Amino acid sequence: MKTIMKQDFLNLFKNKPIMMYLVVYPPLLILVTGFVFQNLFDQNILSSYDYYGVTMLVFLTTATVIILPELMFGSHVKYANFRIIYSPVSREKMYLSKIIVAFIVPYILLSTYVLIFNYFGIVNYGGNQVLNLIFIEFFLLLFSITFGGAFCVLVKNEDLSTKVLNLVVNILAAISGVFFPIYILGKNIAKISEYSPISMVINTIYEVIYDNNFSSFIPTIVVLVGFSALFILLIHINYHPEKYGKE
Amino acid sequence: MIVKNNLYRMLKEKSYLVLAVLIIPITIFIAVYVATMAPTDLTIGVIGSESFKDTNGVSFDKLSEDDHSISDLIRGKYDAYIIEKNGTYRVETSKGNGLKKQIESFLKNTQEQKTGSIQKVTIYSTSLNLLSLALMIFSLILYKYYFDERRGINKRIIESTISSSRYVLQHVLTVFITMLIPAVIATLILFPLFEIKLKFAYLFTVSLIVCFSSSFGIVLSSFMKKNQGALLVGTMLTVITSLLSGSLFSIVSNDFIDKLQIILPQKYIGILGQNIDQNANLSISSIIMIAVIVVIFLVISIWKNDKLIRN
Repeated sequence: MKTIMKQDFLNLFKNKPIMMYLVVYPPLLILVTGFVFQNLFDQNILSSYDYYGVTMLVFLTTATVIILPELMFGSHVKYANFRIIYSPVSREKMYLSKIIVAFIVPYILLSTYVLIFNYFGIVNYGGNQVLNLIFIEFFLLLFSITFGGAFCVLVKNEDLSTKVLNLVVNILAAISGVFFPIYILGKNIAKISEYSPISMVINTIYEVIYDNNFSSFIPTIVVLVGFSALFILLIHINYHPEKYGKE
Repeated sequence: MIVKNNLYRMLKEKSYLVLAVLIIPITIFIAVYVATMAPTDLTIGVIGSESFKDTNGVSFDKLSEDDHSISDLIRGKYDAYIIEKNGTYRVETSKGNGLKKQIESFLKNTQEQKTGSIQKVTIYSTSLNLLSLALMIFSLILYKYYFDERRGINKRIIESTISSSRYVLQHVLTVFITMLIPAVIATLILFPLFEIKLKFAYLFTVSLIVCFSSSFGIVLSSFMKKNQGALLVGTMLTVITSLLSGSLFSIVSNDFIDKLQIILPQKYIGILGQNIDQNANLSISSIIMIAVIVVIFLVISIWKNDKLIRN
């Protein structure tokens, strides 16, 4: 399992676009949105950097759905996977090591950015209580990563599923609460969106940062963990690397 | 020839065709739906006073002290809070100073004041901007066949009588056709459903967006090694340039951004959308600017492909 993980780490680091997505994009996006939307916010309560710092973090975390499919079935590993399935390694170890790698790298990078932005006061991620946010980020990332994997094993086409996921995440972001408060779209839509895990997370983060209200902290985490467990179960049932090398 | 072959391949491998047929109309549907959404009333939470009654465009919710949560304000559930203590009012809002002043003057006058300014028509521009965001990303997906040929088939094709410019242009044309047909059909069907007037200028701008998106796709694909990479980098570029162009959301303006916007095609698409909203003639300079950008993109990708094949 260690060997598989080591190789997957290397694969991920060598994948320039994904690394760029994780290293360059987060600070760029947070700074650009914060700068561009300055006028929309009254500085007394929160600045545009504080608002978009949180929503963009959530957006970037959901956008990590594409990483696990790439590691599980990407073109470099398709044939390597064949070798692994012939060796005496259990299937669980194979996908678990990929999930762990796909999880650790973004988590470390995103958390580092959260700590840096928080430390220098660019974005209010909760000041001294920033660890709460990093804690909830843990579960949101787990949710996104396993969601990507589950979607991919269901569609059975790595190429197509990453593309669809990418497009869907971006369109949803453009029309949902990530770029502007969801209530602009009317109360009914806002009510519906409150049930989506993403907006649950955003709400919980704001409640924790600004109202010191932890009432939805545990329920949100329970929901995220529940979904993640379901997705891992789907991966467990459907992950058969031998079916992905035909092309 | 390549167009024919690519379309044939698409028919054989249905998933991409299904994607085009499904995703483009859904995007147009969402875009139009969002654009036709009526601007909502202001909702103001009132704490400690009973004297406010819902007026035109403003609704007041009476709240207790405990409900006073800042996160509701940030999420936009309430646009502002009015807090009464011993006869004086305090206004709290997270939105720009304009709203705060508006509410404060409303409190002073207690006369009915219209908060909603003149309602503007933005259906066409909003839907066009959302569409360009989606199509720019989508065109990158459709360049799959171009990348499939990178493994060597492209060399064989070029060594036949086809020049590299025709080779590139045919790939662009394939993507152009695959995006344009669903986009036009979906517009023709969905607009009457939403009771929006169909305008020729709108269809023209849609085809301009499709044209731009396909050239954007090829230029990025030419420089990237893999389709995945092109998609990721393209998404980043699309999201950031769309934000900076200020066409989808109104943004802060300063010298630097104004200058930057000159080279952003989304800016011109926004201008064309506004023209359609105002029933004005399409701005010729914007059309020319988009055309120039398309030509530049095509020339760069032809040059790059030429180099790729020679090496």
